[in-house]
Amino acid sequence: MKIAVCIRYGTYLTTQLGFNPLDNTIRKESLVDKINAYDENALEEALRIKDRMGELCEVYVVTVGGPRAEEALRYCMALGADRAFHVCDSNLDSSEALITAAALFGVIKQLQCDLILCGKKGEDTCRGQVGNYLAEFLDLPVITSIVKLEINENGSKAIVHKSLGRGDRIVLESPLPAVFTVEKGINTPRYPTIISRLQALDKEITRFEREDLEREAKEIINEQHLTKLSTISLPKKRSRKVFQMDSNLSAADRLKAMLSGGGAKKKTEDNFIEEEKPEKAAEKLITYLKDNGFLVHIGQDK
Amino acid sequence: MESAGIWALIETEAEKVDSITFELLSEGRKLADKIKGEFAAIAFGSNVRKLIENSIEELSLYGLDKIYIVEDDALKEFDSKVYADIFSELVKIYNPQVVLCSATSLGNELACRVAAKLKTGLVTDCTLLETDTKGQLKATKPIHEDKLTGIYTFSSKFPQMATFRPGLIDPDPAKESVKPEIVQPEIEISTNVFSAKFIEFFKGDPKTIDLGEADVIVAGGKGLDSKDGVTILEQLAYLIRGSTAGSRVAVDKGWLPLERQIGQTGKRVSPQLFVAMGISGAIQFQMGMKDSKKVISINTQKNAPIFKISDLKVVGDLHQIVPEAIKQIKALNEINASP
Repeated sequence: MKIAVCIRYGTYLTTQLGFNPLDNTIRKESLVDKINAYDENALEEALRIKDRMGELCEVYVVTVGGPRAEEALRYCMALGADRAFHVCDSNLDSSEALITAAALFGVIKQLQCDLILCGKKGEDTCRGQVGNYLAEFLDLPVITSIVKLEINENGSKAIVHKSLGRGDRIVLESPLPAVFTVEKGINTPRYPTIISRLQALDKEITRFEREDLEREAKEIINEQHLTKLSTISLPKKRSRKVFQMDSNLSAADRLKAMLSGGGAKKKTEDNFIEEEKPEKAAEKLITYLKDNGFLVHIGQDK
Repeated sequence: MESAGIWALIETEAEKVDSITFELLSEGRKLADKIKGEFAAIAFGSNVRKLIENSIEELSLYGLDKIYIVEDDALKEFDSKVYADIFSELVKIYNPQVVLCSATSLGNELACRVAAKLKTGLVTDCTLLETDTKGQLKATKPIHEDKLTGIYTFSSKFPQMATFRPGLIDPDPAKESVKPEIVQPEIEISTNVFSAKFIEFFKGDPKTIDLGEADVIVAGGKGLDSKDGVTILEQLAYLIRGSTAGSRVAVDKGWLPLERQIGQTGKRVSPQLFVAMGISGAIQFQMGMKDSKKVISINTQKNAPIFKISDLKVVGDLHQIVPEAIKQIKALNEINASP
């Protein structure tokens, strides 16, 4: 059984404080270079299958990007990946999702894998597109956001638990080969040992230039970027349509009106509650929960 | 061929048009107005004509010029390959400038497959969509796990695609009703499917799911004072469909079990909402939950470290505020449960 895991080595923002709204830049100190957390879960899942199947299973890691991505591949091999593939091209760093997927496809197509695993999205771009694009290029089924994966005896089928949010899940049976994208909750990634990290320094990484990729992949990559991130800013909340509250209503009626969609809009900067009366503090807390969609009516769940 | 305006995908739930579709139609209508072009909806299914006709009253309030439907037994269950094939065909025939779906699992998968087939631009999970008069889309979406917002522009290739986050805006029906024309084009349905077989559905019980999967977590710390404090925690958690958790102190004192410990030596979680009560938030604790999308903290100490990473800071006694909140939420539920 051959499993390909797509790895993204990128630059991630650790805290919102690192963003300077005056000149729309991010302070270098709040950025960290690392492997996308969801991809770590994907690799861990592949390694667990390998743990169970032993030599019959090979785990390949594939990444697209500049030379610094090599560090990520060595880390993955230290964890237990058998082979590493690197489409080494700085122009493909943080590129259009379609182009990243095409480059990955350009390698994975040649590997003839039974299973392809990706993180469900990148922590920076939050797109969730690459896994789906890859499935389309490879003409395979795709199931996103999986939290559990079981392969049958002869590797022809998989039972997956797909997360629908709030702990709800559906169990699906999928033929293999297939592409699955994983959720963070699927497992806890292991750590490498120092010895395995040292050994990984000497291991071979197969490098691909654009020229070595599948023809179809090259065509897509050589096209111009289809979408471009043009500006970054702090999040701005969209105002919902509201009407002004009648202050003559009782507290219960006002809460009821707020719950059914109307009510005086709280300022978005109003995130500090210090009230003498616990009832008032509780009221403001509930308003916040409602505004952010966390107040689910028990007994009215879909 | 001239471009045919803005398209939006209709999603259905239990034989009706899903409410989130009306949010999408509201956003799409704005774009259609700007480019002064056609606004159309697309629907697929095995009994879709009847479904659309049943909802036509409501659909007529969203300024749609046309609704394209494709009906076939093969389309009863969503299969991304079959649907994507048909969708792409329709796009190639009618040439819309912008194609929109809701950012649901189905919508994202389908939009991605179509974008990959057509090799065109797509931005997913958008919170705001705008366009100029020529149909050049500008898509706003959260990046860096909702910490920042990014605005994406597109190249000049059409169609330009986007999926729009549900639950963000209220539907905006018009005052006048204008009945759209229902068009049923002849499309060949591919029988080449590899759909996943549905086995079963689990409703998540926040009490038992793994914290790594929980969307909402309500955690307590030293401020709970005793095991009795856990009752307050559990009651609030139940009302907001959350899972209970605790800091190291709470677990060490035996108030909560080990598998519910959050922190450096416990679990790392990243739920949509993290409510921390009676937790000071030392760095070891923060490490376990700092990736949470929204954080609410309740603490008597104004300078508690947890407030630095909180979106909503409540300074006060949890033993007074939370029971009060529980009381008020229960009262609200009763008001809403009553006919």
